[in-house]
Amino acid sequence: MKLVLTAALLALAGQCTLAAEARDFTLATRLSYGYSDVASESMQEIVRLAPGLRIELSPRTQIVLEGRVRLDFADKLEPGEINPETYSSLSRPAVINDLGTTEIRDAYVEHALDNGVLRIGKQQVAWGKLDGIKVLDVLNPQDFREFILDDFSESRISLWSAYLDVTLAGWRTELALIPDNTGHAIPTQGAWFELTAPRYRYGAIPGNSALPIVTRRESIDAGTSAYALRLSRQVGTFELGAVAYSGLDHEPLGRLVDNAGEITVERFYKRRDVFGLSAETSFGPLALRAEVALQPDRKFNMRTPTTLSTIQLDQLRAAVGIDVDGPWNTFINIQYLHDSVRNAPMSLVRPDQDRIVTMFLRRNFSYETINVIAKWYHSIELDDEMYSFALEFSFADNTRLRLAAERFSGASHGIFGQFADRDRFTIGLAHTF
Amino acid sequence: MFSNERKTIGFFYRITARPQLALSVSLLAIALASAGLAKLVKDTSVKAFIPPDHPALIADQKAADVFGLSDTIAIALTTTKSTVFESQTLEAVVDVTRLVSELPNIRSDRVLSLATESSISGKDGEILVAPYVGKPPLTPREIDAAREMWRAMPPHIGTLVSEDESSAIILAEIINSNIAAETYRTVLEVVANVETDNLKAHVAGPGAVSGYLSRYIDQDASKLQPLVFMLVLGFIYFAFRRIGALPGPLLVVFGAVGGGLGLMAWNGIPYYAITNALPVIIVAISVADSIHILSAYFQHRSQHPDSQVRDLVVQAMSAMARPITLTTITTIAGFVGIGLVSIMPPITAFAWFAALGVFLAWVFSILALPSILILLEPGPSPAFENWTKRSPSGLGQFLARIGAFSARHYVPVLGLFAATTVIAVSSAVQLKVDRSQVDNFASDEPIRIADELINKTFSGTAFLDVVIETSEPEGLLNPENMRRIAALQEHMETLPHIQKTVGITDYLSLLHHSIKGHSAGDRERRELPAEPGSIAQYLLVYEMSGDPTDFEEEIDYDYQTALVRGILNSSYFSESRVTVEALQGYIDTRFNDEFMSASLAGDVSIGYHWMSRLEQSHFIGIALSLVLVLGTSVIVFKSIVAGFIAVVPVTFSVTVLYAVMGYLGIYLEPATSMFAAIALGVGVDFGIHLVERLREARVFHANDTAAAVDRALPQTARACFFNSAALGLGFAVLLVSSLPTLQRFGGLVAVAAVSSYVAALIIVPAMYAAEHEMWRKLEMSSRRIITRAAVLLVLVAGSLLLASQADASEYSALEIARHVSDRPEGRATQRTIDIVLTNKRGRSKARQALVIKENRGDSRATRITYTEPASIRATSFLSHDFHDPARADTSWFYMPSLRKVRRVPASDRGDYFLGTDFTYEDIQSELKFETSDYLFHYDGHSESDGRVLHHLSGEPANQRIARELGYGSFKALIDETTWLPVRIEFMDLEQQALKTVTVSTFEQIDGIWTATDIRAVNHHTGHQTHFAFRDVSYPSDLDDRLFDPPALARGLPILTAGAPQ
Repeated sequence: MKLVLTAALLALAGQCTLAAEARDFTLATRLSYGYSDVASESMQEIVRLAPGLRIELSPRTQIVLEGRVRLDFADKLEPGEINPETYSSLSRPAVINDLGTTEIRDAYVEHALDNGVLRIGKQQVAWGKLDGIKVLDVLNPQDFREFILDDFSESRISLWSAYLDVTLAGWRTELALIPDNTGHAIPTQGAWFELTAPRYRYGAIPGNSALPIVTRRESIDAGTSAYALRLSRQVGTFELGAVAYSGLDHEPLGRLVDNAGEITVERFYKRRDVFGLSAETSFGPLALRAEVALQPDRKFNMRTPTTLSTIQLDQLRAAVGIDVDGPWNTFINIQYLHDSVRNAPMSLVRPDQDRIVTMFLRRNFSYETINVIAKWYHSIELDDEMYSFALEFSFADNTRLRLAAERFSGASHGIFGQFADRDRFTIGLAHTF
Repeated sequence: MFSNERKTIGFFYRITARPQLALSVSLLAIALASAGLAKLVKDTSVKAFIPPDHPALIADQKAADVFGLSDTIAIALTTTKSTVFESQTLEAVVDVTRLVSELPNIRSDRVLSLATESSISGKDGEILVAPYVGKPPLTPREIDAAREMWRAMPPHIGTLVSEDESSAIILAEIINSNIAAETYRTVLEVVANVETDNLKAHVAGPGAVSGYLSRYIDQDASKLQPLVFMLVLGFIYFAFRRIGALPGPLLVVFGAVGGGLGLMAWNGIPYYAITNALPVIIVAISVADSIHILSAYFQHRSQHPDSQVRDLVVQAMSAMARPITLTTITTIAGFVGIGLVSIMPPITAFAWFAALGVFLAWVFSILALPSILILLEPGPSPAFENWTKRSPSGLGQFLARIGAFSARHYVPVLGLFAATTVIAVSSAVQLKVDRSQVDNFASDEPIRIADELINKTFSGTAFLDVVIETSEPEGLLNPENMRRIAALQEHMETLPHIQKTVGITDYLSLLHHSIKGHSAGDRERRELPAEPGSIAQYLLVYEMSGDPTDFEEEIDYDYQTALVRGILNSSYFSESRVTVEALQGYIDTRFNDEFMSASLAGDVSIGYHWMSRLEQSHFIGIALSLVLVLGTSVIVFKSIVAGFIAVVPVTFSVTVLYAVMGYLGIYLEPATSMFAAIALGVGVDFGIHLVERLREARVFHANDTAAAVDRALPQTARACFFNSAALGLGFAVLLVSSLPTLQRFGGLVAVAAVSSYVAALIIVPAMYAAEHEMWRKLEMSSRRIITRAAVLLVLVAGSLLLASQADASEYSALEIARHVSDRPEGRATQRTIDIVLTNKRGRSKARQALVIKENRGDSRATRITYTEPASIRATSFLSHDFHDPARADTSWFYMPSLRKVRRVPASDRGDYFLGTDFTYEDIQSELKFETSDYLFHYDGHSESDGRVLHHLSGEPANQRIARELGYGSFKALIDETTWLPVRIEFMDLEQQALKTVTVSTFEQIDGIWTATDIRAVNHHTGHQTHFAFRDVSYPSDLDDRLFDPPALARGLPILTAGAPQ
């Protein structure tokens, strides 16, 4: 199916013009090595290749292609094969033995309109205004292979979709139709960043053995597409936006299934609706942004010692962020997320409330040749946290060296505390040809 | 916030466009907020100081609920005769008991005295429960009988009648503490009727204290607030000697006080005793903004008598907006430090609403004050006559000379301050944390006299209660449990300051002796029956003889909870803390078990907990305030050194005041504990004003601090002087408060305000002089060579300059600057730039970008999209820079990896542009000089390759613009044919060579002279930036949609060739 779609796209594009011109071929490469002092072992030895090509069919129409080959010789981040069942057949990466995967990241035709752009194909649509916090960035699922440590652009999973972005009478209108039913890619058992907090294991206590989890592709209603609309407008110095999304909830639910006497947790997916508002402005050395999303009747798991059921509850996620252009060439970003499930019963698998503070600090040196970055994520509810420090050195036009250290602490049932023994030090070298 | 002077000026022109409207909106806002004052309620109780969910308060509330305890008014009747057991006194006790019981806010069933209590005695195994006295008149026999019964009732000795029999007491519990003031007044009226030469009445106790305090608050409010208003108004008149100067500050003060208190009331926050200081503080602080603004206005008015008032007001506002904003932020930071750390609701409310009041003062100073000035058009102030001759006032000169003296003699000055600090710290460590509720009253106040008398003659008026609870109902009927309670009481009575304990065991012991028929000599104190069931039997026997409710204050109806009351003769925290801690230790280690547990309650326990918290948190709060104030100062100055220097004087001043407190024995208590944080917040303002002014001035006086102080400081020093005096006087108003604690608080902050100013005036110049000297010595060796070379160069250049000036051109400096400024640049332009960045080691990085620009009616839009290298391809930057200074520029950034367009903070003009050696101003202005930014000088002309090159130099019009641009001056060679600069040398703020920009090629494209090769060399870093322009065109217009932020995410712009202009 995937090949058919790609071929059809290429054929369509091919018909547009025979004078297609290949432009901007790039090959982004990245080598990264990770070491865990807690485990005293190498935990990643990754080679990542991302070839990209832009084919200009006409001044207004182009095809954008980008693939990604990812090989991990340490095989700790994602031991064994990926769980193919969380992907739709259209988007599933191809597996290269135990070594890694290859996949299409972008493959779309883009046509520039007089007042906007139309894109059809595999792509990412990012609507959120915040950094590292997803409130309205809900159209594409995410790969949690490296939890939230990877850039969202790397971990966001591209979907086959149609996207229209036009500006009419000052209103920017964005429409997305997404027939691709791919959910979040959740690390399998034994993965370095396996999600072990109870909220991700349907209530199983960290350290205790959990029921086997299986994901059934057929449990996703393949006939269901996602629809999304975003309207935004500049009002004075504010950019205000409203988002409506109805489609697959990328976060799977669980249910207990008795397979000939063996009880397993079967992951399945439901739809969800999201209605949200966003605002962004800046004044002086400050930029402010805020997002709020209401998810009425979203389905959540409830767990008792013998049952795993679902319940429909309203969820409200709201976040605010501030950028400060600070002294001494510093850039500071502080964000606060408040996520609450209304009328949550005691047996709800996830906490009824999450409050997370994030802080990002960057300073450039030597004409942006050197970047020093510090990040801090803190969950107020369980007092667990993650902080990281990174040093980036761009020693040539297309070459960048990155040294980073990440540390987690807190209770094992916390969002960050679950990785308290997963601190790592990484060194990476990226070059784009 | 006010970094761009043009924007600031534009802002104030906009808000003063319709002064009537601005004033009306302000008045409406004040009226709406102030309307909340009608909802204001008072809370004067001790319990208000502790959060409602604190365990000590919960235990106290439980005691109150179970045993029906509430605040008590204690009435002591003292006779000059040998004993109260005589007819006149006892009849007075009966009368007062009856009259007080009938008062509306008194619980008639909870009035205790000889007239309501009974004695327990026994004879031949029979229990006799008999009242002490009956209805008057009393016979001598009845009086003697009452005396004998009392002597046989240990629980009532020292409680109902003093041990020396000189006084009898009536204890009356009040129903509603909020109306205790009225009850206290009526009780005084009742007791006044029974007083004679031989019999005196004294009224004290927690209920009376609450009532007294409430009355004090009303008296204070009616006295302090008008006084502070009058003082401030008089002060402003004295400073400016113009009636027209008064309404503006008055409105600011009303807005800040009315708004702050009104919003407090709207939020349901009660008016606590210490809230009385809030209006005074807000008035004192808020008037400071007005003083600075009015000073600037009258100065401009004197210097420019023919200018329009609106122009003068806008100039004054734009000059003062930044400093008063900074000082507002630091003052708020001081209050926030208190608010964040304190757990005491009155102090927390005080801090947050003081911060709100300060913020409102800033809002009204910025928005309403200029409108009032425009409407009233105050004429020149006689106090500023000197400024007509551009000469500072005598006071300003005098103050500046003090600062200059300090700068010249910075070594002894700083040495003296360092020595004083060491002495102060050693004295400050003696500071003591203490408090007693009666300290709220002067030593000659009747209630304080009454309190001291009752403490002296009776067991005391301070109660430390122990609530004892068994795990099951009727657990207290177990004799073993009662024995343990008796042991607890015995232990309590060994603790310091506990004069007596009263509990159910005392009465059971009496019953035991009576039933067993023990003679007086055989009676052991708190001897209890040991047989199971005996306690229940005793209580049953008592109920048959006496009133079943007699023990309701000692034990509950389920026999599960009991109250033991310890009576202390001191309510001072420093004295009672040892008692509380020892008792808590006994309870934890020797009393509590799974069957029975005890917890502490009562005013002494509550006072202990919140005072302990105060002791623990005070210095944390001060440290937090200091960090906030320091952090704010560092951020606003963008300099650690400047932030540090601004904070040092007030820190010194506060340290000295701590020392004075320690030396004089003024202890830390809730009110005085706030002084330091408030002093930090308001006292740092002087440091900030002086640092702000001095930093600017030093740039223009070659870092000669003394000269800078001498010439630049008079106006600021004078304004700060009046500011500190207004603050000092404002806080000094609290000295006339009826509450000694507020007097101490007001006095401390007043001294801190004045001493912070004096310290700032002396320390800031000295520290700057020291800092400069330190750097000078460090750099002397390396600079010596450079300096000599520079002198030689200047001499050569000067002689050349003189030669060229002899051949004067027909152009003036401004004409050349205007030619450059008016150089055509087209309505729109598009071009590709090859950028090469080279560091001092010769390593290069190359970039390529597509730049499109459009001059619109109201703004200039610039879009830059990188096309090379591949790693940053399609990364885009978009800015809309508005010509109207009042409109904030806006910028967006698009990174393909993020896949979203991001609003970014607008950069300052002097910030470097995306890793190049060009500033945003360089890029935006196309190497033009904004004529309003510089004062230009024409330095002659020369010829090169047949071109006439004009030598133009300039220095920023003022220090603020210099700071914004990052340039101290420039020298440029301007080509007369193209009016393009071919070379510009920029100096930094220290007048050191910063960078050189060279235009090596230019050509005429579409009829417009265009620089096509520009190079910038940064002399500080050795870094170079080379811009080579190609594919340049000037289309008649570009599609506006290319400059919409969403377009950044839609890929590289598709450019259609527009017709050249």
